[in-house]
Amino acid sequence: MSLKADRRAPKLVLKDVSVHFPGQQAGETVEALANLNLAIDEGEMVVALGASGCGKTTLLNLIAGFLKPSSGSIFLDNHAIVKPGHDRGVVFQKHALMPWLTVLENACFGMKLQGVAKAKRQARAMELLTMVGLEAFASSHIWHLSGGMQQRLGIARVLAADPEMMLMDEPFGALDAFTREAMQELLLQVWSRSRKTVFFITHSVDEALFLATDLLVLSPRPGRVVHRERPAFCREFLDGVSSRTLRSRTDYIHARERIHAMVLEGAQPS
Amino acid sequence: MKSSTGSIRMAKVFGLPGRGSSTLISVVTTVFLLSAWWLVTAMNWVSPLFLPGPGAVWQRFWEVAGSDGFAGVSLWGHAKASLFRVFSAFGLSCISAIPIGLAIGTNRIARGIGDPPIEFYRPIPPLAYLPLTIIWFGIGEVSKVLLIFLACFAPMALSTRAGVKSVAPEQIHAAYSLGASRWQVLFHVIFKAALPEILTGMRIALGFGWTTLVAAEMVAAEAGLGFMILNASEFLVTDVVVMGIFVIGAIALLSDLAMRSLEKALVPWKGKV
Repeated sequence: MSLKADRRAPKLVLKDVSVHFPGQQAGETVEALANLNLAIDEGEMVVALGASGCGKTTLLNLIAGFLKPSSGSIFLDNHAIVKPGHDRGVVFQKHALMPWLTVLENACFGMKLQGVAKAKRQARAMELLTMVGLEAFASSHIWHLSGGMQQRLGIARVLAADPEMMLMDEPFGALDAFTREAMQELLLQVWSRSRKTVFFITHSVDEALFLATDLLVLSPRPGRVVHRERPAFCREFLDGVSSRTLRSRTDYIHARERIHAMVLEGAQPS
Repeated sequence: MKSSTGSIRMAKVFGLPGRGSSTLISVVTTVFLLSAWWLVTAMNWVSPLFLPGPGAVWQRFWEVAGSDGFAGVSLWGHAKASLFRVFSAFGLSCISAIPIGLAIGTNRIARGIGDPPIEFYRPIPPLAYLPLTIIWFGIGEVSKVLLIFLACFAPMALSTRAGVKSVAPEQIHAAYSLGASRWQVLFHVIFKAALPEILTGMRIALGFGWTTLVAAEMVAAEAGLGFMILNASEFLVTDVVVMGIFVIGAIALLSDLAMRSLEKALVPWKGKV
């Protein structure tokens, strides 16, 4: 059986990836990412953490296929990524739902594009709306949803299309602090049930530490991974420890301050 | 939440421009204008040749609407001829300007080809190219419908083109990440996102259509509201002129209201997201 070998093979591989953007002045170029090498395992909650300008959004856009690298290549399950596809669903910070569709139709959208029969896609979409607690709003318009509910719909929409990976571009960045924590808890529950590989970017140290099983600290100019560790707080949360208990524990606070210092240090102009 | 709001005064936000209802003021203005019209004619301050009174216009309306008609055609006949011209031009404009506007908005080559002619002819008044349409297409229906069509086309194409810009890059990327093809993105995302502005363009275009009607019916028409007005002015039948203006105004207003309710039904999300 090749099952053992498959398990060991990483889900996502970035090989010598560099990204150059045109700079402010003509002829000038900005190096957003330089010779980045990265391997991500299946089923992990990967969180890329960094200050603005560290290339974390660039990294997500590369994996999503929204951006072609200047050099290097990216592989998902050993297939080179050349464009966006339904194997990589994306949850955006905002503005990504379709206001001409109801909540249920938004959740069905991916399956509709792929030609899944109406009854089948609606049944599957309802399952996911239930998972994110929106089953009562199936026939609502999206502008009647709060910011947190809209992001829950964004997650349901991606999972309904059954991707190999879920990419999340600062999905809770526009939410208030209380909603944000509730959404983090919901995400962990959804992730533990769906077993999807998640690539999540944020500039919140707390969010990164609470969610990640694989935490990448990025530093700017050019963007590179300066630190990587494997926190286990999310597993404790999923085992029943409350998030408030976790967050007030000294090991959590120490880890948070240590990583915070790392981000600040990396963000210093050299 | 209290159910009765009758005696409770609502809090007001300071400094919002143009707030509050203007309905009563509009009603008063309308009544004042009609009374002033009635007064200056009833007192014989103005000769009926220049401005007939409301009564005379009203009476003329029923005469022309009845079996008498005007220039051998009933009022309904005139209206039918004009409605046909305006709405066939409008319909042709919808099926051509919307796809062309989408193409210009989404495609570099289409934009390069489409922009110069549209931007060139758009500001030219239709009366200026009316002679050319007659030289090319004669004095029949074709040149009349063509003139109104040209007046409708530019605002609709440009609104559609502008509407394409209202799609968020995130919406396009989200659709591709959900497995959409280019055509699916064009139809299911870009077209839908542009729909509010397309409908605004259609409303403006229909208004332009009515505006251009009189010019289109200037040459060799045998029926039509614009023709009726022009013909009446030649014979100094001023009450028919004024009546014709009111009829065109009423039809244009009704079609605008119809477009607005269409807008409400088709794009309920407009202004909400």
